[in-house]
Amino acid sequence: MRSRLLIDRTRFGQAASATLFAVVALLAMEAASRLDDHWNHGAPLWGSYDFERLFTFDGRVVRGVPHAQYAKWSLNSVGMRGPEPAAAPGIPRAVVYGASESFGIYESDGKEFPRVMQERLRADTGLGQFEVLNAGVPGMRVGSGTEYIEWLGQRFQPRVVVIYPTPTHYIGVSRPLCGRPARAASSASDVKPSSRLLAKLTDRIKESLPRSLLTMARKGAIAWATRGTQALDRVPPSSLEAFKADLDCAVQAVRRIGATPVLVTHANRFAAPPAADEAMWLTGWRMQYPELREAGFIDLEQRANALVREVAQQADVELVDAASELTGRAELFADHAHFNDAGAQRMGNLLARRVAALLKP
Amino acid sequence: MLFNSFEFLLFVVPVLATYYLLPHRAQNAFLVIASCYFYASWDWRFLFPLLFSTTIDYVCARRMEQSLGRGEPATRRKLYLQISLVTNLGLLGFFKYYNFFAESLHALLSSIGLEVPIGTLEIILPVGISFYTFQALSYTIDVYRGQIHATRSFWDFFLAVLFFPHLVAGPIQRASNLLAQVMQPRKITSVQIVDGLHLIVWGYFKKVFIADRLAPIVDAYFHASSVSGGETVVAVVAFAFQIYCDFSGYTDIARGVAKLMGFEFVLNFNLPYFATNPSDFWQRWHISLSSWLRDYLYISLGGNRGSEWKTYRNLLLTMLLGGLWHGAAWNFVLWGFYHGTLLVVHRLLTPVLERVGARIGTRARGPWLAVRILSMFVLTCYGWLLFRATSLAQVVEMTASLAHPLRAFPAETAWHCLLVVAPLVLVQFVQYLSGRLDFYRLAWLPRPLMAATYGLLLYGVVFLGAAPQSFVYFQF
Repeated sequence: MRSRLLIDRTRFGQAASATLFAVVALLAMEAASRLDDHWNHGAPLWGSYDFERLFTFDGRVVRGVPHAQYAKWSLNSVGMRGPEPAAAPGIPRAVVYGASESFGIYESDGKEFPRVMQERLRADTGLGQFEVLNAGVPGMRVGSGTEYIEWLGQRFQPRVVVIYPTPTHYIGVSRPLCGRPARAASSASDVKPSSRLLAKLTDRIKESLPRSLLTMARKGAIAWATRGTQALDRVPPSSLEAFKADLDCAVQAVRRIGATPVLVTHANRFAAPPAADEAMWLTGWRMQYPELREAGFIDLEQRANALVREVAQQADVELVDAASELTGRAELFADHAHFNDAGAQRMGNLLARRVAALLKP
Repeated sequence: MLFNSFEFLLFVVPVLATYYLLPHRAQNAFLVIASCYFYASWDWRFLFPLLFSTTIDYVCARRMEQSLGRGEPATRRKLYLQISLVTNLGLLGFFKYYNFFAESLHALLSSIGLEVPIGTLEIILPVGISFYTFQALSYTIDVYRGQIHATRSFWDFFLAVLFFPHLVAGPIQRASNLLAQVMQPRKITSVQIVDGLHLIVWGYFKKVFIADRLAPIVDAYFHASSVSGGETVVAVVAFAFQIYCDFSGYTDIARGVAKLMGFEFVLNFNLPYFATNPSDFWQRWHISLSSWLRDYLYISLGGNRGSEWKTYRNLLLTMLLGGLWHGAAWNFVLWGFYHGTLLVVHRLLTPVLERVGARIGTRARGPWLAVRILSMFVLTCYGWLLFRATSLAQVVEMTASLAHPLRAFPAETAWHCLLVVAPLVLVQFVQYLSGRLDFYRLAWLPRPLMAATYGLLLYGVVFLGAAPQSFVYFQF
């Protein structure tokens, strides 16, 4: 009996010692993670550090925080991605108004399409000082930033505003958002882990996991999120009506500031019908909106792009049909709809050509 | 499935979990299945040559044992040994060397004006064939020599060859060591588990943090159209650390994983860059291969039993074939010849070196030791130039550049490399000076500090490593 108790004690002691060892090792890893962020990205040692620190909600719209920095992303003094806007008056400018596709998620620094567009325009138009401002805000719905457009007009007097809307942000939206204050649409990056180590570990697992396993895990998460509910096959017409109304509203807002609007259809990686080996990307897309079945995303994109073309025609607005040019070319995308360097290059060139034509006297 | 891939983690964790739940025989059967899966993850067709050669070796060994038991003449056993040798070396020769010899012969005949059509084959080299061939051969040779008994169980033998931690890049296990462990029930101790985990973390650190960070630097220099003397020096020294951390990192992971299952693998590296002469180097570098070459090739050739000239011949031949074992290319042959020459020269100079050593006073012994270590390191590094070069023309060009070793020295890159290898150098210095090879376990630190250091090492492995690269020795 006595010896048994001793053995139990020893085992308990070993388990406690191993646990303590693991806890200290994890704390050291957490500390290393924070020091790593601090040295490489100027992150604070304490407090939260995530993508959301780049943006703020001012009570009416979501906008970039001046000089904010997170990982590879850094914002300038006006809260936009890209170099400082020139202070001199009369600089000719265009603005790209959109969401994460415009802001740039996967591209190397300086390769996001508004920057490509600027380089191309400077080379092609002979306007050496021409600036393209990246007013992309991840999660921004096209109708909820009209006040931002007005601010852009007052501050920068752009000649052209390129509107690149994201149709999926209208999933679950049934009324136009124009003129109403609204938070940015939720995105995966909204998750706020308390441990930086845990956040990095999650990212690393996602990067390293074989695609088939990742898709399986995502399908499980989608099934869990939609348990007891009926997923939609298509987005209801009311959402698309709201999208169209907000497009109109954004066009009007651009015209009010004296700029020329340019509408752009939304491009994605999927051919219609999507190839079998592309299914995992559709599942990835659905992770953000589990309530809509995979096929519904392709359908939404097609219907929404038809509306973009319709608004452009009805309101006599310049149209760049990026969907016709780029959709289905998987090699240009890093995920379902965000560009890689090659895709951003194509998109930037495409837009620059049309804007250059508009700027010609 | 590379050890440094996430797939391997997804493979090894369930394998270990299942393994712990099974009794001995079922453990062996399960490891055969798991190892087949591991090997087939490269290409399922690789399993066939492996299965073929192990079947032949198993049958030959059994026949040799029975022949010995019946008191039959040795010629009978020799016949079975020859069958095993021809099968194993035939497969290795076909898969690994056919195209090399065909192309070399064609080039040779062309150079004397003979255009003989010698076709090459589209062959995929089975991963790890050089390792498992040598391992299987050691079994039949040992049975032939009567040093071990042939096993009755084919599956035990198959597992000893196929066991996934050592299958693709060693260490080359002798049957006398591994087969015995396969056949006996294994008792896993807490010391083995702790030691295994330490080896795995340290192995990954060497591979991911050091080797993979040096790889792009080395590649850039060896793919450059021309390099200065300074660049050659940095490239070669960086490669010396890259290949050491890559291969010994792999070995540490293999030994660590094996320990977690209660197996003990042989030591494969023993501070090789602290070697004081060529003979010492080969007792410290890739020990499982060098001891294999010594026991099965050098000794079979006569070793040092004949005249001094025959010993030199045997040394050169052994190292030449050892070089060719690494790959079917002339630079490996040259590397083998170079090391053979170093061994011969060292043997010639040994009396002189011993006299110098004897005359040196106590105070000068330290510097004398340092000079010998440094000299051997420089000689080893030149060998790595031959090993890594992409062509013989590059060997000539880089060697010529060494006439001015400081010309256009890339100080910034050298400093970066130094920072990357600093943790290894520090640990190995202490290992060497203290004589404690298990220094990497950091058992001398208070436990909280030890835990924190392992936390930092793990962080380095997971988040600060360079883009994953394949293991250099996988190609052999």
